Amino acid sequence: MAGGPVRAGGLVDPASLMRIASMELRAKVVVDGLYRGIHRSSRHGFSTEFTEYRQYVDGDDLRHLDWRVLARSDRHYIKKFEDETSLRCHLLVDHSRSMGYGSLGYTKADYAATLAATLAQFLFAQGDAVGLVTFDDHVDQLIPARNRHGHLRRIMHGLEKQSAGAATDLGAPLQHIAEMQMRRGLLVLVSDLFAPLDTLSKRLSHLRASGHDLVIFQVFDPAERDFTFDAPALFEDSESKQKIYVDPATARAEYCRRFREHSEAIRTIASQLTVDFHPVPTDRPLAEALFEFMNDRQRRGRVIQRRSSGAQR
Amino acid sequence: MSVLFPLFFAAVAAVIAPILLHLLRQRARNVQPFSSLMFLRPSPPRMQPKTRVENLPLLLLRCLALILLAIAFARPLWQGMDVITAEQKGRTLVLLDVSASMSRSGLWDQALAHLDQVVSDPEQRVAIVAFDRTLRPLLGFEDWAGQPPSARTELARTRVRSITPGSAGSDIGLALAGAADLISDDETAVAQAQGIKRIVLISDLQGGRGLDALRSATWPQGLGLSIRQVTSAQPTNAGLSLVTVETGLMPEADDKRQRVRVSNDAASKTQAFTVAWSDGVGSAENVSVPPGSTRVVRAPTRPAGKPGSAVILRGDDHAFDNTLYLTDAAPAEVPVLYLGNDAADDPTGLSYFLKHALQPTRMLAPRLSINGLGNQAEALNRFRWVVVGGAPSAAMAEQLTAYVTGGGAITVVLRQASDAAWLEKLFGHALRAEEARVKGFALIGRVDFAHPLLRPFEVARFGDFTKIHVWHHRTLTPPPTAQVLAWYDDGQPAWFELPVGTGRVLVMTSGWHPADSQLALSTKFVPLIYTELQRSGRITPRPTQVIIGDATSMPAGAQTIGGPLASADAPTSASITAQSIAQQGLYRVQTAAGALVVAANVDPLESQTTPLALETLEALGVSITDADAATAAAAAALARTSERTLKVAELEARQKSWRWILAAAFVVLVSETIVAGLFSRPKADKTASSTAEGAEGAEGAESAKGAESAATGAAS
Repeated sequence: MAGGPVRAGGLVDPASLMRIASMELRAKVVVDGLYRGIHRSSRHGFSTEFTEYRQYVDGDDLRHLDWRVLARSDRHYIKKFEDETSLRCHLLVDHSRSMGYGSLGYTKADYAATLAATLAQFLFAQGDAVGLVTFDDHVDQLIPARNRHGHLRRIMHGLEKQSAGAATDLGAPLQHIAEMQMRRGLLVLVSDLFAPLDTLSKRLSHLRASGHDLVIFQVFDPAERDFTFDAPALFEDSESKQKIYVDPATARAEYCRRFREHSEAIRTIASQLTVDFHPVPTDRPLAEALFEFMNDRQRRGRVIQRRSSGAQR
Repeated sequence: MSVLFPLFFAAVAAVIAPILLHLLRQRARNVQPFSSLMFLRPSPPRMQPKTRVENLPLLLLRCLALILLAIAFARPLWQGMDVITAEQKGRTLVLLDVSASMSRSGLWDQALAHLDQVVSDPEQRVAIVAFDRTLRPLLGFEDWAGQPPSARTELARTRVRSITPGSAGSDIGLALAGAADLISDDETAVAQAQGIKRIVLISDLQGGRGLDALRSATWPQGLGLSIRQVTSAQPTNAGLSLVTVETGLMPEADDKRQRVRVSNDAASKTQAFTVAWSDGVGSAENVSVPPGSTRVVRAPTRPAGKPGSAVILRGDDHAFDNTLYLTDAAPAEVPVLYLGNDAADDPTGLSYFLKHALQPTRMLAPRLSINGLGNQAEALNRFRWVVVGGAPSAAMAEQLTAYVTGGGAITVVLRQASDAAWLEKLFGHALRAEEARVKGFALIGRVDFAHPLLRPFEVARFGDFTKIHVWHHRTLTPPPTAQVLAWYDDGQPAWFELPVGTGRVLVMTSGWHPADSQLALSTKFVPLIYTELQRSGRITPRPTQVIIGDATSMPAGAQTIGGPLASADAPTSASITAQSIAQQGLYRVQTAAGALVVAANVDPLESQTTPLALETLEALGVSITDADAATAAAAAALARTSERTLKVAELEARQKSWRWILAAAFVVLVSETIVAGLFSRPKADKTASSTAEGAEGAEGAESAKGAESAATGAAS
C-alpha cells in the first residue's frame, strides 16, 4: 500500500486508495481492511438464516449436514441456508460526464468504480453472481452475472475502462435494464443522480415491481455538497458546456439548499420504494460504505421473499 | 498654453472605459469546470471593491495613452513663447482707390484719414498702391524699410497727398489680385520669417465692374483683407452715358441729335432730371427716370452750325459723372468717279441718279466727280470707286486696267453692246455681247443673296426683285471665273463680278436709267449703291468716344494733336495712350486713317455707386479680417473669429506639438502591450519560480547555518 495515513480502525482513506492503479487491488485492500476491523465470520454464507431441509445427495458439502437431525432420525438432511439461494447481483455504474468531476485529486467516476469493484469483490467472495452494467445516457457495457473463476477479473477490467461519457440520463438505461427481464436479484446503482427525479422514481418503481432488490449509492464530491469555492468565476457544466457567472459568496446558500432538497427527495423516493439509499461523499473511506451496505443487507435479509429451486454455484 | 480644438478634450471621458473594464474584468477571467449546473443560478456581477495591484500599472498606461491621444487631437499650442519681433509684425499693403467715384464730396478726406491711421505704426512693413483700372505704386516696401522709423509715416503722407482721384473707373478685383501678387513678391524677396500679412483696402467699394479678375486667381493662404470703406452722405447717384451709334448706312433721318442714356440708382429718392448743353444753348430736356431704371433721351436741339461739346445732367447729387462730351461722328470720305458722257442734271442719264443716291450720311461722305470718257489728266488712284457708263477710249481703258489691277473697284454699266468691247481685252475672254430681244419687259428672276453686295436683301421683305422691269438689256457670256450675282428670267446673267488683279470689276448688263429699266426708280437702288460704296470704300469703324482709363477704347496708333480742346495748354504731338488722358474733354487725335476728334468720358460703370457686398468677396475665397465699424455688423463678427483663428492656426502650424504628443502616445501603447504580455503569462511559472527561489533560499540558509556551525565547531 502506498504510504499514507491510515485512519483509526485501519480504514484506508480514499485519496491514498486512489493512488493504487489496479482496481482489483483496491478492492482487496478495502475488503481486507474491513475484515480486519470486524470479526471475521466463519460462516461462509452471507445470510445464515435457515430456510429448509433437503435430502442429502452424494456429493453435497458435508459441512451443511444437519447433525442433530441425523442424530435424532438417522436421516441425512442438508440445511439449506439463504445463502445457498442464487443471489444475482448487478452493479449499475454511471459513467456519464458529470461523474468526471472531482475536486480531491480523483474523480467521482474513479470513486464510484472503486466502490463498485469493492462490492463486486465482496459479493463474489460470498459466492454471489455479480454482473456489471455501465451506462451514461444508454447502456454502455453489460457483463452478465456469474460467479465463475475469471469473471471477477472481467468485471474489474470493465470497471477500469474509462468512458468518454455523455450526458446523464438515468431513465433510458434503467428502462433497458427493466426490459432485459433479468431474473430477480440485487441491483446496485452507483451514480451521482444529477438528473430529473420523476423519471428516476418511475424507473425505480418499475424495477421494484419486477421484484428486484435495489440499493442506491449516491456518489458526490464534497465540493458539490458544500460549494467550497470562493472566487466568482464562470462555472462550466461538464455535460452541456454551458457557462454561467456565479459568485459563490452569494450563491452558496441557495446551492446547498437545493442540493439538500435533491438528496432528500431521493431519500424519500427510496424509502417509499423500500430501497436502500446511501449517500457517499468521495472523501469518505470506501470501507465505511461497504460496511453500511453489509449492515443493511443483513437487516433486510429477513424481509426478502426468495424462492429458489436449487443452488447454483 | 491654449488649444485649437478644445472640444476634443471631451474625448478624455473615454478614459472611464478601461477603468470600468478593469473593475469588471475579474468576472470574465476564470472558468471553473463543474459537474452540473442544475443547482446553480447565475449571479449578478459585482464590482471588485479594489483592483488587484498587478493590474494597476496596466490600467494607468492605458488611461495615459487615451489622455495623450485626446490632447494630440485638441492640438495645443504655446502662445507667448513666440516673441513677435518688429519684422514679424507683418506686412501691410494699402490699396487706395483713386477712381472717379472717389471724387464725390467728402470721400477723399475720409480715405486720407483712414490712411493716416494705417500708416501710423512704423513697426510694420507698409506699401501703398493707388488703383483705378490699373495699379500705380506710390510707396514700395523697400522705400518704407529704407527710411528710419521716425520718417516713415511722414513719407507715406507726402506721397499720398501728391495724388487725387481721377476720372477713371475702378477695378477692385484686379487691384486685389495685383496686391496679393505684390505681397508674395515681397515675401520671396525679403527672406525673413513670414509674419502676418494683410491688405488694407481704402475704397468706396463701388462695384460697377465686378470682381472678375479675382475669379481666376486663388487667394493666398494666410493673407487677410481689411476693408476701410468710405461712404458718402448721399449714397445714390444718377449717371449719363452715350448710346452707342449703330453703323447705319441709311441716310439719317432729319433728327441728327445724339441720344444719351440717363440711369438712376435703385435706392434713389429723386426722379426728375434735366439734360442740357453745357454752354447753355438750346432748351433743357426734362427726363423722368424711375429708381433702378434707365431712360434714353435725345440731346436738346441746337441751332445748326454751332456744334456743342458736352451735355450736363442736373438733378443728381454727385457731379463726377454728370458731364458727357459728345462728338459728331466724322463721316468717312469716299471719292467716287463717274465716267460717262451724260451730264449730271440729265434725268435720262446714269449720273443723275447716281448723284442723287450718293447723299452723305453719318458714316459716309461720298464725293462724286463726273468726267468724260476721254483721257484723264489726273490719276484714278485717289478714287475708291469708279463707275463706267459707256465705252472708254483706249487710253482711258488702259488707265482703268491699271487702276483695277492695282486694287481698285470698277462698276461697268453697259448701255449698249459695244460698251463691252474693252472688257474683252481686260478679261481676256470673248464676251460676245449683243442686244437682247425683250418681249415687253424682262425681270430679274434669280438673285444670289450670298454675295456681299446682295446680302442686305436676303431678308424676304427686301428680296423681291421682280418689281423691277427691265426694258432693254444685253446678253453676253461671262468668263468662267466670273461670279454671277443675278439672272434674268430667261436665264441670261444680269450682273456678274470678276476679280482682276487685286481689284474687281462688277458688270451690269442693263443700265439703271429709265430707258433701260426701273432700277434707279426702285427702292433697291440706293441700298445697292450704298453697299457697293461701302465695299469699295473699305470703311473701318472710327471710334469717337474714349473711356478714361480703358486702353481698348482708344484708336490704334493714336497721337494727340491737341486737347482737351477747351483747355489752353494743349500737349503737342507726343504719342499718347489712353492712360495719358486723365481728364474729361474733347481731344484731337491723329491716327492712320486721319485726324479724329474723340470725346473722353468717365466709364459709365463708375456711375453705379452701390458698394460691393462683402459676401461676394468672401465667396471668392478672400478672407476678410477686421472690417470697419461702418460696414455690416455681421462682417465684424465674421472677421473677428477669422482673424483670431488665422493667427492661432498659424502659430499652431509652426509649433506642431501634436506630433510629439502622438509619438508619446504611441510609445505608451507599445509599453502597455509589453506589460500586458508580461501579466498574461501563466501563474504556474511564477509559483514554480517562487518555490524554486524559496528552496534556493532555504538551501542557502542551511548552508549558511552549516558553515556557521562548522565554524563554531572549529572554533570550539
